[in-house]
Amino acid sequence: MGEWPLIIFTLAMQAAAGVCLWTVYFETKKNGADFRLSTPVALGLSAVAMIVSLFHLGTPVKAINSLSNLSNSWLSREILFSGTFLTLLAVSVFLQRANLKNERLKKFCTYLNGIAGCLVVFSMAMVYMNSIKPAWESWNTLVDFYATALVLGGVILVMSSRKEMGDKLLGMNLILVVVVLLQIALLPNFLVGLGAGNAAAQASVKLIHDDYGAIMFLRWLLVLGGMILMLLSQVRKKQDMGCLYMAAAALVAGQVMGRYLFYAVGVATGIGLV
Amino acid sequence: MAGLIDKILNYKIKRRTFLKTSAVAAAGLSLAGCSNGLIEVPGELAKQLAEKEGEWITAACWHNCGGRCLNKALVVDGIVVRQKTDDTHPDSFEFPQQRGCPKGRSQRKQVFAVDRIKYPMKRKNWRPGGGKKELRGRDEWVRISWDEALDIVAGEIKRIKEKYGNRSILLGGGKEIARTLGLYGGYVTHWGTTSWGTWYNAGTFGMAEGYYTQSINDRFDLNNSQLIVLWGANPAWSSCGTPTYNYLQAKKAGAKFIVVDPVYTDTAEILGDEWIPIRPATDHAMLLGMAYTLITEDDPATNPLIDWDFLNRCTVGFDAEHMPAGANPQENFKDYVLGTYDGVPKTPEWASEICGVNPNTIRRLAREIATTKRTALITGWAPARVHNADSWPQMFMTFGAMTGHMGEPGRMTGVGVHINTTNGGPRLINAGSSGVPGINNPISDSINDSELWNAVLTGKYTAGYKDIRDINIQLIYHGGGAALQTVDGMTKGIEATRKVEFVVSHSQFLTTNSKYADVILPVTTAWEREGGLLVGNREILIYYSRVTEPLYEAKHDQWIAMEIGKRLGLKPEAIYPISEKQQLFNQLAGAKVIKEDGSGYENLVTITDADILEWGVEGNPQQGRISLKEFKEKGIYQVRRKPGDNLGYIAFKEFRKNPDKNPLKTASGKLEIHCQAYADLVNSKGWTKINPIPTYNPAAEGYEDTFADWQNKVKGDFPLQVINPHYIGRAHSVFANIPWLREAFPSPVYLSAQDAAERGIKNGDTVLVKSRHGKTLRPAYVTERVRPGVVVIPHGAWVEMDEENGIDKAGADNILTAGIPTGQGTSGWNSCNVQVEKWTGKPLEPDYKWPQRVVL
Amino acid sequence: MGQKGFYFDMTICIGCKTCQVACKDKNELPVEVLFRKVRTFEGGKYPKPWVYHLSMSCNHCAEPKCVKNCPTGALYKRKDGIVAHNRERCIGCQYCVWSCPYGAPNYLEEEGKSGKCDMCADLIDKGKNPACVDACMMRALHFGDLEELKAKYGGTSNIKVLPDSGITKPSILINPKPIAKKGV
Repeated sequence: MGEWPLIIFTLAMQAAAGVCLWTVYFETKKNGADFRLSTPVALGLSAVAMIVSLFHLGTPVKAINSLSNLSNSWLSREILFSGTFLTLLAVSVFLQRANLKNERLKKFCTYLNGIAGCLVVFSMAMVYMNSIKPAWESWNTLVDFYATALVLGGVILVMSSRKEMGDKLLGMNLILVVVVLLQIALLPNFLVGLGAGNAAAQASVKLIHDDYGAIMFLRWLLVLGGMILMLLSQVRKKQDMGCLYMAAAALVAGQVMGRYLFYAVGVATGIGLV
Repeated sequence: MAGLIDKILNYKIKRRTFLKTSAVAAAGLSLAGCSNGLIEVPGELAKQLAEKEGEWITAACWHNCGGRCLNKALVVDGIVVRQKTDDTHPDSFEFPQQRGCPKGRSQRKQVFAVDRIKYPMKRKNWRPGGGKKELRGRDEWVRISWDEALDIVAGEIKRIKEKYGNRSILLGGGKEIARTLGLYGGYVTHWGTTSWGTWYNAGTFGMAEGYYTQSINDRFDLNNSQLIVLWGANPAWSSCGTPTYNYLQAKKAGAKFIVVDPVYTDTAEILGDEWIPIRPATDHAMLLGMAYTLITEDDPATNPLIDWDFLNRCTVGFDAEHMPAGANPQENFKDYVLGTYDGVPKTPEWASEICGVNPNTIRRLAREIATTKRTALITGWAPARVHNADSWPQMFMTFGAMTGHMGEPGRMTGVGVHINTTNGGPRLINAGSSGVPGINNPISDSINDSELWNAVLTGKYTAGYKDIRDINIQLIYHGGGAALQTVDGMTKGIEATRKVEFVVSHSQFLTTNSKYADVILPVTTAWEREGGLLVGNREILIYYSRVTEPLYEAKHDQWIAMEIGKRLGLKPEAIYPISEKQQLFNQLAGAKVIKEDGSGYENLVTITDADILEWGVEGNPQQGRISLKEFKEKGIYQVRRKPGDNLGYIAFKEFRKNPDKNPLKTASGKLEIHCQAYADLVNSKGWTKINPIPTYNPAAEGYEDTFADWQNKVKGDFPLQVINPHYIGRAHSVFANIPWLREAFPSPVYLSAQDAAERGIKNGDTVLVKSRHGKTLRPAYVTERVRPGVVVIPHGAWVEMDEENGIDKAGADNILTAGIPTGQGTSGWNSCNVQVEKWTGKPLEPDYKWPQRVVL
Repeated sequence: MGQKGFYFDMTICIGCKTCQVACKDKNELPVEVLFRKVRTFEGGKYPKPWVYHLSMSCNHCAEPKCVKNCPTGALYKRKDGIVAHNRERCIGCQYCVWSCPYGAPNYLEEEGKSGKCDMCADLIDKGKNPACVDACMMRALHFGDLEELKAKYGGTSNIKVLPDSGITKPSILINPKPIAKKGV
């Protein structure tokens, strides 16, 4: 499995985007939290993501060349959006640290980051949806990437800004539950679609079935379990930290496994696989 | 992070210092012009070089591969950057380019291989007289100087000669050192039927053996055939170059192809209109069944199937009325087939039980061949590389004679193999002699290959009928060849090698010969030599030139022969009285080409006084077809043929017209279906016997021997038959080490889907193949293209013995075979019984991932 | 200038892989990297098996997904339709490998870049044939203007084992064996 750089890159970038998307959500809820920790965490994550992505490249010193085909290549766009997103986050953190009291600017930044994060995730999905691997070409990639962003972003937000948000978390959790349930509900559809696809698609199904079934099962178990723990930790009067940490760990592990699976079961349409 | 930093650093290093890089790594181009080694060039420089103009040099492709093609190397700044094949003229069927195969296209990867033997070496534990002889094949290697190496070899030759006499020196191969040893009192040789199988002595009953002489017509005439039967011949693998292309032209001209073979080969795949899967080593039985069909169904008036005119005029021994003088009339072929005297009619049903072909198919094929006006019956040597198959070539001839497919356009019967596949007839162009006189070998002992290793181990060999002689081999000199790898029964060969007092090998790689030797002397490839001439199909002569100076410390075998001679007190000029250059010149000056009207031969090369002066050789100016310079530049002379020219060839044409006026070189002057001389020759060898007529003799380790109880059809411990076809990725054992070829041709064991399923073997599984004589591992290639009951292991992989468990990992064919002396001393590689099972140990890595044998 | 392409006559290919090796020679490729690859397909049931070989390199598609997706512009289409690769610009992201339904681009581990068949553009520019074409012992491979090849030999870009030509519009014409035809 030579795709660890990409697993880390996509997860970290999506987590950062997720943080920003949730920030926008809480902004609309007007709870006044300024997420002193979560924005820098997002910045850190996106910075790590960008650095790690270089490991995927055979010739990293020329990475800048990747911006040369914006008019056609979603990969170019992904890099552009990711870079922009990283820059915006850096500016946001700078402004945050500078203790500016300009609420409109802050709000502007929050929305801008959210939009950028949204584009990052979208362009990432488009990169894979434009490949020739049926398991990636599916709309499932888009759903999966956004879901990952929301789940990981949510976990980070909970962990880093729990105090600021107080009891507002329950709403977020309910949204997350819906997202995850939606994802699971769409899974059979995705698999059936693959099963009805070409030989490469079927090879992916076979991989899932023969080699990665257990991991897949565990992955969803972790995600569902994580969600339940997360809800439990919120429902109890006093937030149960142990429960919360366990929930976070389960959710993160579930997403990492999910992404690992994503790469592992991607089979390219090709000669003899049609 | 380390990975990233490495990448960046590596990148910078590549940029800055690529010219200085001198490590010999796996990839990259190789500097040719320097005599002390290879210099690796990274891709970037390679690209720059590729853009420069260079010089195309005709490079030798000199192997015993079954083909002969034009190979050229592009040399830029002393570096061989790439190769190409024939583009000396536009390509057409009449005047085709002589395009090379994947082996030839990998030639530079052989010459500049990282695993070349770079220096003379000796085995670490070697001592005069042996020194832990059991460590041969597993000892460490120590680099030594040429002086030390030559002193050791000469010293051991002298010591062993003095102690045991010249009859203790066995020459495994190598015509150069043979001269030295010949002058030094002689040496024991070995002989065998090699690839010919039992066609080796086919001249005795009137046929051509297929290599030096042909019973098949030329390629233009092939297009006149309406039906071409390829019997155990797969030129797509074993005769690269023009042969399969020529067959294709015949197909396009309308010929139907029927392929009789245990395997649905790549030849069958594109040519075959019908595939008749047959059991190995049973071909003779099938032809007898076909003969029975013709004999019993023929009616000259209403259903003419037999060409009685041809049989009666041109053959002896078919029936009681046409027996050679002095022969027992009862011992005629027809009555044998009908079972008149032995009570066994050789019916298609009888044949079917042996060969596995449906009796109706046998009948149908016989009728089709007999009733098709112009048929070519062409066989390869493979069905003759079978124990006890001495009568098979005679049987093939007999069936051809019965159907009369001989001596007329589009009609032929015979062997179509090696460079002459699809193109029979005398050579239209030939090289001259090198002018090096022969040297007599005073020792007459010569051991048959099927007994060779046993003779070393037991001290006895069969010199003829009731003539067993003592022999005490103590020195094995591999001055070339690949005896340990390619002689039948390698397991015993290794044992024998570990018994003698001294083993020396000339080689370019750590071949099997060298791996088990005490001293290895590195020799040059043809690319590092003066140049030479290569004959190919009858229409071409190739003139190759030096591509590079000798690599590392490699030397020419001639130099070694002389240096060892000096140390033995011989005069070097007695060994090689003329230089390599003079030898080449003589070959060029003596080269002859057919005159355009076919009336005779004339000089090929024009040589001027200036040429002689420039070459610094002795010779006389002469007028020829092509200047020396042009010949060298082109690298090939190809006789331009046209349909209807006078250069065609119909085998037996004159003989058929008038056999009395144009007799064959047989006792009767005719094709001898009853041939006492042949029976006498075979029977004089001292092993199994044959009859003067082609009767069926079951092969030792043939189909019948897969049974513990033939009558009740109870299979034995080795229920499968293995065959060892010449593999497209190798020329015998040559090229077995080239990664490009290992990648393209993974040398699997081919198993029929049915046999695999019965054993729970899936495609790609590592399987253990075991015979009565040895065991080997291979990845399985499970296929519907192999007849159930048959296992195919491609010939020539270098044995890779696991010393722990005694199992070879390379699929070396001769680990499975044994020396079983039969008939005329036939090497019967295609008769061997095996069992196959799924390997439960560590699976094999693909060969191309194996570490190369880089010693120093 | 018309789109250049290959014609491959499957019915006469013996699977000898000379084209594959000649390509490795021309491009100096390590093992596991093949710009032209001969694949063997077989099936049926003894005693009626079938087999065919498919020699394929980059198909220099009219709508190459690799060119569209390449973030660096290293992959580009020449005027004569050759999908060329500027290795200087390549960053080794391997997105082209994920974009080609014919498996044409290879990742060159040692160089940290991709590489692919460029139809031997250097030879073509000198009026010569690609190395693979001139290597074929059976004369099963031809090169030329795609329209001219089509007129001369016919052939199809759609056979059973190939991805639908609609994905990238490959510049390849194949004379398939009957068993290899689509829909058989």
